[in-house]
Amino acid sequence: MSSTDIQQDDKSKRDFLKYVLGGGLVAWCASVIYPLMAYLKPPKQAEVEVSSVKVGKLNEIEKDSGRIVRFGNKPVILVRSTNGDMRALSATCTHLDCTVQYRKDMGLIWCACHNGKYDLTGRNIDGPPPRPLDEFRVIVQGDEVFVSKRV
Amino acid sequence: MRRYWQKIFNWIDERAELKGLVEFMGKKYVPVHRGSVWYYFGGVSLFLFIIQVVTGILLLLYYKGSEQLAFESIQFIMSKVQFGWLIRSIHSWAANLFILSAFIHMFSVFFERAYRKPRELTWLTGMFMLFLGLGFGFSGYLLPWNELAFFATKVGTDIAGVLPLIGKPIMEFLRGGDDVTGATLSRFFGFHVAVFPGIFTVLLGIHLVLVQRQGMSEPLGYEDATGPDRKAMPFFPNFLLRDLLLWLLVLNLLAILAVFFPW
Repeated sequence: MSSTDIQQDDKSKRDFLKYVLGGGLVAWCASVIYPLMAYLKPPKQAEVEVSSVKVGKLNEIEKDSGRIVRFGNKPVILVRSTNGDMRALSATCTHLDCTVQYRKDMGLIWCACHNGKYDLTGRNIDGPPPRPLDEFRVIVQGDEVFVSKRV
Repeated sequence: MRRYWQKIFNWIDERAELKGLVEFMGKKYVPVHRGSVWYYFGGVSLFLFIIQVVTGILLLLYYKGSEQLAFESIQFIMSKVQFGWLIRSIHSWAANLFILSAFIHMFSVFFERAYRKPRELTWLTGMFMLFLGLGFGFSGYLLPWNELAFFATKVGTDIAGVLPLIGKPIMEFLRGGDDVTGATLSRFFGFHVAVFPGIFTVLLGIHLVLVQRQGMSEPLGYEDATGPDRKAMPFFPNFLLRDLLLWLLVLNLLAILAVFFPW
């Protein structure tokens, strides 16, 4: 074998080692990083599916008022108008997810963040909200009021 | 590639005068002799401490340190979080190996008499870190909030309670009341994740600065040795690279232990 052959041989041996060691290092890093990344990803929490929520006694809910009810992890607004009608709407403004409130002086549902306005049926009538509030069902059982999802 | 590194180095060097530090690091050497292997255990302890910090922070993402939620949150980590069992198992294995490695480190220093002047402060900070390490173990043991943890802490704090005079107040301080309750859990959680790590980090900083400034301790008689008996290797990069290789092996050992013998 000539000296260039030997050099050639050495070079390919070295390349082989380089790939084996480099590849091993990369694989090792991956086997450390993968579990870490998987750990950091929050597991899907079994969200409790809420189908209906008790609001309170009928005679405790005043006319011309609105109250926010916690429905699972979302707010729902129950509005009782001056004539005693009740309506439940999602209290999450369709613009940027602020929580809306009932304004006695306007007789409207109003969002404090950007002056969005909805009428009492949840229709967006003024300001930035792009669409109406989702409606929920109001159930009166005896003297108790419940809010439930519309089926 | 090299040119870019050089550029970055120069940029920082112009502002922070890195050259002096590099020169300083170049001067440090590690004596090579029969007992050189013991020099590695300080580094291994340091590495295991780093592992504890990292896995501890990871566990903090899901652990809840309160009476009602602690036990459940551990169940959650073990069964719902991906690789949660692995992180927790590594945390408890590394805790035990840390004490082992710290003991080897300290025994080697003790028998080589490396604590002698001027290294008394290094020895003392090391002692305090060992005590803190045991404190980490004792406080961490309660956090799963299971029966074993509860009664271990009850017995442990009872032991503190039988000390004459100061025992009772210490016991009450540790328990946050007369008995082991949710108040104890809150305290131990605070000690474990805030108080101890804070103090430990300061001590560790002093310990490492002293080691770098004073250099490695030479065994008795090494100073008089000449010729082939007086061998040494540079700390940077020779010893450091060996250190890193050992750290890699320790991490692999940890992973094997944690997977096949979950703790």
